[in-house]
Parts: sequence; C-alpha cells; structure tokens
Amino acid sequence: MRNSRDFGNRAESKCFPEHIQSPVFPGISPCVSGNLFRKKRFYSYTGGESTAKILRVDMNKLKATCEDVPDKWKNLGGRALTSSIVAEEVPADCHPLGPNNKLVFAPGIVTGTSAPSSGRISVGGKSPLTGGIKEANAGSSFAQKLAKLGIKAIIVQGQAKDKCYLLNIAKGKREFLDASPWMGRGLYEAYAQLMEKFGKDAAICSTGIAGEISGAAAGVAFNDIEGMPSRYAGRGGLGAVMATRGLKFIVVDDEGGPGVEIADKEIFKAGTKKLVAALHEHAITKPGGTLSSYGTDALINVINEAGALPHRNFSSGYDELAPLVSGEKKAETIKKRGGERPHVCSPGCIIQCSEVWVKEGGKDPVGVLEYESVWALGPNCGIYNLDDVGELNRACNDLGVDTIEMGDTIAVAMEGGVAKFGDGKRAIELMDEIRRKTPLGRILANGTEFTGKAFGVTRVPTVKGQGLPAYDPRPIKGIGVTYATTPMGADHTAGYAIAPEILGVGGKADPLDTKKADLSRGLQQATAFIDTSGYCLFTAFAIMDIPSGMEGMVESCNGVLGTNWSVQDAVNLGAKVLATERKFNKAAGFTKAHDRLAEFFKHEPLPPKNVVYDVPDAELDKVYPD
Amino acid sequence: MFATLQEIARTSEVRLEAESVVEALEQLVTMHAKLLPEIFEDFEQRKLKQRVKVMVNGTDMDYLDGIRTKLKDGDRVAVFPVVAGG
Repeated sequence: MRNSRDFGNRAESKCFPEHIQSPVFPGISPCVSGNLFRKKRFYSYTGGESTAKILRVDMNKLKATCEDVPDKWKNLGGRALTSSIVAEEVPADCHPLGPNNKLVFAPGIVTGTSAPSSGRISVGGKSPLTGGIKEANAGSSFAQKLAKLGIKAIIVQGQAKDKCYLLNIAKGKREFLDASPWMGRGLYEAYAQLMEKFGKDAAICSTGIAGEISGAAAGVAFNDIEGMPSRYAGRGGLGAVMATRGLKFIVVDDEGGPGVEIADKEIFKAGTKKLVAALHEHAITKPGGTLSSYGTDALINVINEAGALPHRNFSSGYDELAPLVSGEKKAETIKKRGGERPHVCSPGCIIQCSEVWVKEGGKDPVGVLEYESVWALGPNCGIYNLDDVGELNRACNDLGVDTIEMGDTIAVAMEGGVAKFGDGKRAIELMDEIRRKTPLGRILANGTEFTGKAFGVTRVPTVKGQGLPAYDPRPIKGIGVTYATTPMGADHTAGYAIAPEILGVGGKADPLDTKKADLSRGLQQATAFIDTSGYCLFTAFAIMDIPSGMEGMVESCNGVLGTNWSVQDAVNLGAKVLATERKFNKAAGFTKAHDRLAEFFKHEPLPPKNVVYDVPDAELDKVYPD
Repeated sequence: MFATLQEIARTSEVRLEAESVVEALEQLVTMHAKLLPEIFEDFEQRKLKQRVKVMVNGTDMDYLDGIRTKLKDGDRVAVFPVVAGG
C-alpha cells in the first residue's frame, strides 16, 4: 500500500499555526478543550465488528465478491476511501483506459443514515483527463442505497472482453446482464427503461455515449429523484474508465439491506441536531434561503458584477447580458413554466438547492441547471439564452459528459473557428457530433485541452489538463491557487476560496491579495474531510460561520464510527487524504511545474478590471512545500 | 439589486444622484421602503446588515472606504443579500 496506513495514527502537524484561528472554521481554535476536542486516541475504531463490505467486481471473470473491510480503511468513507484504494491498488504509471486502472465507488461516512444533506458518493480512479488521481462526487439516492445495503465501496477492475454489462446489485444478489441494447442510446431513454424494468425505486449509475468512445470528458451519471440522469460525478473522465471496464450500468436495490451501523446513536443524534440547527440558521442554507430560492445559479450576477465571470472563452469578466441566465431569471421562468424549485438531489437534503428545468409549457424536464453548467454552456460560449443552455445541459446529461469540461471545450472550439460565439443552435449541433461518434465528436469528447490542440488555440483554460470552472482567477487570486495546486486539476470545489474572497462567508479575504497559500491549503484540507464524511459541500457555508455546526458534523461521524475525532482531527484527516493523492500524482510524473495555471492568465489582462494572474510561483509552491 | 432585493423592489436597477454609497443606499430605501430592513441593521446609525454586500464598479466597498466610499458620475453600485453556489 502507499499511504492509507497512515490514517491509523494521529497526525502531529496542525493545519494552522497556533497563533491564528482557522480561516475555515472561524471561532474555532485548533485543539481547544471541550467535549468534542478531548485528546484521546484518534482514528481508532471502537464500534465493534462491522458487517459493511467491499464489493470487488472483476470484469475479466464477471464475478462480484464481498470482502471484509481492512482495519486501515474501516474509519474511512467517500474521498478518503476512494483515494486510499486507488493509491494502493492502481499503478500510478498505468494507462487510465488500460487494464490496470480501477474504478472505485464509496458512499461517505454518514451516507445512508438520517444525517441531513448527506447523500453523497465519491468515484475514484486514475483520470484520463489529468493523468493523475481523481475523485469526483455526486448527490444521489444511489449513494444512500449502496450504504444501506452494507456496501462501503465497490472496486471495479479488469476489462470485459466481449461486450458491456449492467451489474444488478440487491440483497444477496449480484448479476451481470447484457447492456449491449443500450449502447449508442441516450441516457434519458435508458434510465426510463431501466426504471420500468427494475422499479421506480431503483438507483442507477452509468456511463454514456461519450464514455463509449473513451472521451476524457465523460462523467459518471447517477439518477435524480425523478429517475433522470442529471446527477453527475462529472469531472476527470471517470465515465471513460467505467466504459473501458466494460461496465455500462450499475443498478442498486436496497430492500432488506442491513442499513448503516451506528456505533453510538446518542452522539450521532446530538451531532446531527447541531448540524441541522446550523443549516436552518444560516441565511444561505436555511429554508427560503438563497440556495433554495435561486439555486446555485444565484452566483451568476454576483460573480459577473465582481468582473470575474468568464465570458467567451475567458476573454472578459463582465457582460451586461449575464442577468439573462441568472438564478433570478431561472427561478422566475421555472415558476412560470411549472418546473420545480426548490427541490432535492437526494432524499433527506434540507438545503434543497436543486430544481427541475423544463421547456415552455412544462415539457421535457432536464433536471437541475447548476451555476457551473449555466456558466460553462452559457456566458463562456457567449450564449445568453436559458432555453439553449437547457438543451445543451440536456445533451450533456444524455451523452454522459461533464458540463464544465464541455462548456470549456465548446468555447475553445468556438475560438478555433468551429462555431461562432453566441450560436447556441450550432453548439447543440456540436453535441450531436458526439452522439454520432464522428471524428469531430471524438475530438470534443476528449475535452478542452485536446480540442485546443486540434484547432490550434492557445487560450486554453486548463490546469493539469482539466478545464477551469466558473471563476476567472485573475481578479480572484485565491481560487487560482486552488485550481493550480489541488491534486484534481482545475477544480473550484477542492478549496472554495470564493467563500471568503467574494461571498464573505467563513471570514473575509481581499480577492486581489496574492498571499493565499495558507487560505487555499486550509480550505483544501477541510474540503477533503467533507468529501470523506458524505455531507454535501454546501453544508460548509453554514459550518464555516457557525462553529457548532462543524462540531455537529464531526460528532455525527464519531457517532457512526465510534471514533473520538476533534475538529482538528477531521482537518488532519483531510490533510492525509491530500498527501495520499499528491504522492500518487508524483509517482505518475507530476512536478511543481504542473501546479500552474495556463500561461495566458499571466499575460492577458482580463477586462473590465484589466488584471493578470500575478500570484508568484513561490506562493503556489508554499501550498504543498513537499 | 439582486436576488431577494430585486424581488422586493420589483426592479433590478435604479438611477440615483448621490455622492457616496451611504447616500445612494439612503435614497434607495426611501424609494423602496420595504428594502430598509433588508439592507440596514440600524438605519439611525447607518449600520448595514452583516451579510449585505455592496460593490462599487465591481470592487467590494469594504476594500474602498466602506459605506463612505465616494461616487462619481456613471459609477455602478451593486447590492446583494448573501448568495452562494458552486
């Protein structure tokens, strides 16, 4: 194994110097005293013998067998578990689409329990997009059903030789069915048929047409509560890893499953109560708060006003047309047309940021149009029409591609002359090239960097081969530090510096200040823990401002596992996850030179503020000085 | 104005003649009285609610002169309640 044994010992290092308070958890000093912070043995498992199992799926032999969870992994879930398994079992130098890569699924620690907003699943493997380790996660009932069935992780290995399969998992049942009839078919149609075949309570995970052609932009799709393929572990091309294992679908039924064991129900209950109180109190996450009222797309206007919303392939940070695709406009349109808002991505979510976008007359539901998707397929392509954005999002869901990567890709293709900026109809036609598996479609399905090379474009917004999300780093320096240094490639969720830099959540930081290494590192560590816990990352908005919420989150994990972690231990666990991931990437050939933004950010000023990315390389290297 | 402020005022934009941010906000809540409790914690003290965000030409007023930031012709003042996403 590589690093996961390290999780058995308490880390000595602290995330933040003693003299400062955590920028992530203001009001909480590291290792203060109190019930939650008592210093005992950490990361120890005291909950008795768990019956949760790892399901190992061998696609060479078409066999799925249960294994006991090794002690070293018993207290892990979500990202910590996927990254530990990938680091131990996948050779860092393997070809991501070859026989030695593996695809790992893991629900979070509290997923499948009554903990609020915790229906998250992590998917891991070696990324065909970045060439490094990847964890992407999604909210779906699939995660909860897997956990309730007593499955702590699924490891998919080997490659089926003849055709592609559907793996059907239920209590005492693991069967492989021929999935060939769904090859080349859209996922909306496939999910509807599978729901009919397996029952509307079934949970589904899949790869789409983009995965079938080994596209590095292919994501792993999960069902939403309507049974549509709109919830995605989208980033990094893991859909192509799934497809090249010969696995097209996984269907899960949890009926009769043992449920998630909770080692200490009182601690669990007390913890979740604190967290629920924080989520109900905070203006962003409370019922009727901005997330449930406008969805994530409420950010379009604020980031545009800040001059940091990338338009037309990162050539401007502001456009007066942006409000046409804003959360406010979308919420108003959904109400008028009879879609749904607020809405949940998975049962038990109390934040309810999701929605169902529909066409005029309430027809053809798409699912959620997230801020990132609206930006990527909208302003970044010069498109300011929500109906065009909705159809592009539908096409991404149907084909199984990541919306962020595809938006960056189309914008780069537009820059390369394949279409004109603003031509939504042509952009939809480009998606059809992927559906028809044409040579152009195969280029686009391989993402931003590949498309940039194909069409001779030099303004290619990527880090480690992965397309940038919806915040231009030139006027917001800290998010750029996260993009550059996270092991995942450009990923805003890896350390969301936007919260303190723009939103004033979790403290306040001047967006133009270039000294952001400590901020980004702290956020990355805290995020790695939240991605491990199974809680939605949006719980962070509340827990960054309300310390009892963070305490409750950690207590609820302690309740499930029988551990005695403090908040600082949780952050230390996040640091260990990052160390494991960086060690994998180093072995895969990554150096400090890969912890950099695309070159153009350094010399092309971004209007209207006309600033370049001027964070010195030395500051970027301070995030991980190893 | 954005998000809930826009809904309450039933408009997204107003044109004002003001010499500072605080003067602009005073005029705004005079025009739309229902905005007063959404923007001001204590109007007498001219204290804004904790999470109201004000930008002047894209810069958070906290990095300028705060509520006393001077305005000139053509300046754009954006007022938000707390919003988030990802």
